[in-house]
Amino acid sequence: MLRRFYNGILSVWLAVTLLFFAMRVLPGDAVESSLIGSGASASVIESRRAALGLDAPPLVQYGLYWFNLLRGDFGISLLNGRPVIEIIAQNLRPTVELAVGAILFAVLFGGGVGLWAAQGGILPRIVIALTQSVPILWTGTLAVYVFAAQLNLLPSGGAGGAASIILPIGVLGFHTSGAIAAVFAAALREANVSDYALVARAKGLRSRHVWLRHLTPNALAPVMTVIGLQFGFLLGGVVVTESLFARPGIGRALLNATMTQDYPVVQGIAVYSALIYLLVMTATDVLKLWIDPRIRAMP
Amino acid sequence: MLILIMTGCAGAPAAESQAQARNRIVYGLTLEPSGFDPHINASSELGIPLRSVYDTLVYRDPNDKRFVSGLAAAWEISPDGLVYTFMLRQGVMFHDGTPFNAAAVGANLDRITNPDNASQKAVFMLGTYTRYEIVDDYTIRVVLSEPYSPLLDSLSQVYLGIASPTALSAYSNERYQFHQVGTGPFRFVEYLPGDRLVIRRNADYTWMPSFYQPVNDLSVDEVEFRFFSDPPTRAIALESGDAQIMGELLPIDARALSNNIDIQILPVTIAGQPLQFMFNTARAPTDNLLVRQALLFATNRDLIVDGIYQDFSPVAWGALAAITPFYNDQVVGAYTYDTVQARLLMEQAGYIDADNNSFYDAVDGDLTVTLIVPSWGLIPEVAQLIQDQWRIIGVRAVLDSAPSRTMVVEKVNEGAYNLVAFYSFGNDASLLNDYFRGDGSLNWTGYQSSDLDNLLIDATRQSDPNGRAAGYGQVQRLLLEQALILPIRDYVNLNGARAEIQGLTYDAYGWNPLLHNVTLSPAL
Repeated sequence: MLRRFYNGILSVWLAVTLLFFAMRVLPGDAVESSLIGSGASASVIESRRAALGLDAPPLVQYGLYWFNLLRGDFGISLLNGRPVIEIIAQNLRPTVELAVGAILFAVLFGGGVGLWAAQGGILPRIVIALTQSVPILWTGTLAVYVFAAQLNLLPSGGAGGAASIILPIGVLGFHTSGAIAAVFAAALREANVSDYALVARAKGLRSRHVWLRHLTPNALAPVMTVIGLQFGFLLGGVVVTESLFARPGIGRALLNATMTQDYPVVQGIAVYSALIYLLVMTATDVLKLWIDPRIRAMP
Repeated sequence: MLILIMTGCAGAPAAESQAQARNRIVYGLTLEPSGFDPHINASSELGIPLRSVYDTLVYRDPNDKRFVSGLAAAWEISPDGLVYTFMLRQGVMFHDGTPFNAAAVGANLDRITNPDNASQKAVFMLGTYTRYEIVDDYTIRVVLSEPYSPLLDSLSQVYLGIASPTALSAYSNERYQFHQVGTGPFRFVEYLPGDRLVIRRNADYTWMPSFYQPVNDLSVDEVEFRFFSDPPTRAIALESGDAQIMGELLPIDARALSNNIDIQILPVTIAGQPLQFMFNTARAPTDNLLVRQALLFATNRDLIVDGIYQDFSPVAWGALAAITPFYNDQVVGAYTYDTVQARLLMEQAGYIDADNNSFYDAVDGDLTVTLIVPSWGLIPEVAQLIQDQWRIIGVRAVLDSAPSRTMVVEKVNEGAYNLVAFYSFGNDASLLNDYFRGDGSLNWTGYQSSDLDNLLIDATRQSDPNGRAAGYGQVQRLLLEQALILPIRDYVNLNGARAEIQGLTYDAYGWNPLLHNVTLSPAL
């Protein structure tokens, strides 16, 4: 358990470091990209970069970044001077709403499809394959086209009111559900050939009762793990979903900052996402203990 | 447990003050600017809402591009072109109730030129500005170190819009963009990054420029701007009525929507430099004038404009878009598509196809030119058509994709290119300076000529419009004689609006709607 946590810390460090140097390998930065074409001379651009410390050797910048990060200082945006932590805080709520909604949708929908798939049949397998192979951009555009443009049932995007979040949750949740359904189905099938399933059926219990009361609880532990893992998928998925549905959020902010090469914002969001991921993974481990007494019994 | 905490936070009531507005519309923007402060940030998108929040000292009439009075009732330029005196309008109030006067103009100039504020655009638009002198409450002089005739054009743009000094001093630079205060026909209400920016009509507005119409019952009185960064979603939002006005539709979507009676398509040509490729004269084979001319003749621009821009864009022939002041219309028809002429020129340049593989020969194989292709604005599609067209005359084109502006600059600095695509926006022809002066920061042609330099320098210094027109006319001719550019199309912003929107026109720069004049008819 503790070991897992240390591994998590290591992952966060790795993410920060890789990103830090990857962004500096790319040519240019926010200062340059904002000044190209505005008539600024090379010397003006250089002095602006110097004022923000961007001319220091990368290792010095890296050290300074950690020094500030450990004090809780995520830095400021190179383009508008706003503190990165404020940008994150402001975008957090819409993303959390979307992510939690999508996970809930994925658990319900994926659970249903998994239960169905475990009992055989080709259709649920096709659904699972679709969730994992079709890009979000495609289903998202299709959903907007059908539900917003043609049927006029739901808004095409934005953050105004509860109706505007239904489509994004549905689309992101649909794609998140595939892995859950697949793992759940496999675990159910495994449980289905176990001795206790045989006993339950031999007792004359109805099939429905066996699947829901006996097999499902036993198949939940691997599902918990995959739900945690799907949070990683969600972090990527919100980037596409938020810009597709014109919603504010962490993913959109990340995309904008990447395109303008606003390093501190990109790094801040990456660190934050890594921390959230670590927290979610730890939380699912704890939840698994609570759900599955067999794990608690392990040495 | 974590999930519960998160849901709790998500469930908080979305209490947002939605004051009642009769004629409220949603206006779709494209990419969200990284900052919304016109003095500090550089995006052309920020002017779309803020043009209606700020007035400028002068305006350009959108119809004939003449300078007309704004916050300055009148102005005088000294004979040596070094002193601009502005007689300011009296009785103008900022949205916060403070009066507009010469000291306010001075405070704005101080803010823009303060190096600590790191202005990304406005400060460079002031050119040779050195200082100002307040003559009296309503007279201010702007003093230059060298004559700089683009100054009035700069002062007519939203980047030099006049903000309330009280508001500027009440907020730090990064906070001011959330609390902007001007004198314009709309007040700034709120900006929630990633979500929306809202402006509401300023009922006290009486100091309007000549091209603003009187307000009536149907006039729009509140506008919510939203960001549609994914291009295909723009047409859908317009079609479903989630937005009443939308900028930068994709050409194919605009074409499809032009059959929809609920939607009007309003293409607006943007003044400035058309989409074009610059030839690198420092690298073979485009160091040879004959080759550059041949490639111009080998390009079928009609086909590009028709196929990719759905005929919404005019073909570009020269260095300036046709609606730009000082445009020289003698460029029209230069290098019209003619493959016979193109081959003739290639042969004059000494190229042959000895190995008969339908490509001209170079020292190391087929004759090849490399194009730096920015990945936006449908430029990759344009480059692919050019590649096909040049194959016909026997020139192999290699496309080198550049996903960001800094990547374009990086590749240019590496020097391994024959052509590079670009475009720029503006009404003053001095924007050619950066690209075509020998010492220009964006001189990607590598071309050096004292004739061209002198023409450009003189046309920027002199204040006589006729003299400037003659100078820039010669510049445009020279750029084509030397075949330094391959113009493709004048940039067009494909706006769409719902049928109930009336009176939607755009300012002299083409990007910014004149929201003051827009009305919303009752549902049809």
